Amino acid sequence: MSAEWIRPRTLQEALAIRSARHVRPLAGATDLYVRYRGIAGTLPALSEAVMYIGHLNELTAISVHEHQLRIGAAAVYTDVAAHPATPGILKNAIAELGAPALRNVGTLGGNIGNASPAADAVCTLYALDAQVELASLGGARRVPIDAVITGPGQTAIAEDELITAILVPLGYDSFSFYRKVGTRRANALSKLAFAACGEVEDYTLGHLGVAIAAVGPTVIRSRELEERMRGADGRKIANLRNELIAGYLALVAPISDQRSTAQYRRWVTENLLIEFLDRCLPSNLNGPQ
Amino acid sequence: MRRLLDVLREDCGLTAIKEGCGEGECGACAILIDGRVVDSCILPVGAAQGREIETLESIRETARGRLIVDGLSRGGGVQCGFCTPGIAVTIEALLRENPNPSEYEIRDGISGNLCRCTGYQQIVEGVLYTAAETRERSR
Ligand SMILES: Cc1cc2nc3c(=O)[nH]c(=O)nc-3n(C[C@H](O)[C@H](O)[C@H](O)COP(=O)(O)OP(=O)(O)OC[C@H]3O[C@@H](n4cnc5c(N)ncnc54)[C@H](O)[C@@H]3O)c2cc1C
Ligand code: FES
Ligand code: FES
Repeated sequence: MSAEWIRPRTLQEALAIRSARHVRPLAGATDLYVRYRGIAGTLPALSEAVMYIGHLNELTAISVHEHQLRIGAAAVYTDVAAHPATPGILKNAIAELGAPALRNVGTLGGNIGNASPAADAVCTLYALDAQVELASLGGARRVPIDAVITGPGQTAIAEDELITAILVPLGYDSFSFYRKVGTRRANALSKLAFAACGEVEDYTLGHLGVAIAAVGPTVIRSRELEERMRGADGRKIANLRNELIAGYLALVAPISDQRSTAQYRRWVTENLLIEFLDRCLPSNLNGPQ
Repeated sequence: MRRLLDVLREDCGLTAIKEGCGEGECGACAILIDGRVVDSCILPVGAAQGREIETLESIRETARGRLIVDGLSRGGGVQCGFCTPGIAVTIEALLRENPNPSEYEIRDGISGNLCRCTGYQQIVEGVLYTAAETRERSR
């Protein structure tokens, strides 16, 4: 059976369709067309009506408003990475996300909509304190990224809403640390991703975001542990180190799947925490030794 | 909605592109849309509406296209040949944007293309040859 294909002309029209009936939004198709693929030469086994949104200018624009970067939900990764205002950590994550052919069609809106616990662009959006703009005919609301993704494959996006943009505060990444662990550098979903960024002032830690993907049902971020690091200098981080590692390891609940085992993910998490706390933070807090 | 790959192969008779994995992993189905490389096996044809599509059939008729094919074939960059059309298209996209790529940039550029025969080194050398030769001839 061939699913219906709807091509709205404007965002307004797309929202009107979304409020009138059930349709599945589709941007780059890199998740949907893989998930529903049939055997070679057959139609994807998608039975819902599909509404294509990848061509809507309102959704592909990228712009800067005061201290915020507004990334259209359907802007492709290649364009997000090329924008001069895009934070370095997001560029790093995109450089390791798939290969050029994937980055030329995949979108942040799709990465969020898919809500995979292993989504690595989403992981950096957690560390960056990004907000997601959700719009319906009734208006738009802004929701923190961690409140949009509620579980594996689950989001708080209402049936009549679309993700219209991702809002990234600028200037919170005077240092950043990004590691992705996967099998093949390109085109491999992460076994694990670790994203951290923040600010250093007067040799102490200011704003900080630490996010770990693929070690729980959603990306893990702990405001409580971050609060304990805030205001710390190099010496304090060294003193807190063991507690912090134990704190994070208590939060992760990795599973074994076709990509990796729970035990391996736990080891890698610990090693990346050690690298972050013993090397990345000290080199930024103490300056070059 | 049908996949662009099927429409190109079955309706348009453009059979240079191949279906390898069918899930965006191997690049055998690569084509250019508005000058950018895309895997046609996971692209609904509707997503290409109103956009410019190029396949190996047109690229290989150009001066650089011939040099790409030449670069791949002279150093052993083609063995069974299944990956070759997708790799040639990907190289065209790479060289359009970056006429003088480093070895690292070439490897990154073709990172979405799997080749089970060559081990990639010959392909990388082929691209270096093509890039040098293209620059030489355009002087
Ligand atoms: C070979 C390969 C490699 C990959 N590598 C990675 C990787 O390294 N890291 C990674 O995180 N992912 C990876 N992915 C997964 C995928 O490419 C990304 O999640 C991508 O961001 C999805 O974007 P899309 O636009 O293609 O999504 P689509 O397939 O178009 O949509 C995905 C989901 O989001 C919904 N959606 C899309 N846009 C909106 C919107 N604006 N509003 C509401 N809902 C929306 C759709 O309804 C659907 O449920 C890979 C996929 C492939 C095929
Ligand atoms: S057949 Fe399209 S990427 Fe493998
Ligand atoms: S030459 Fe055989 S797969 Fe590349």
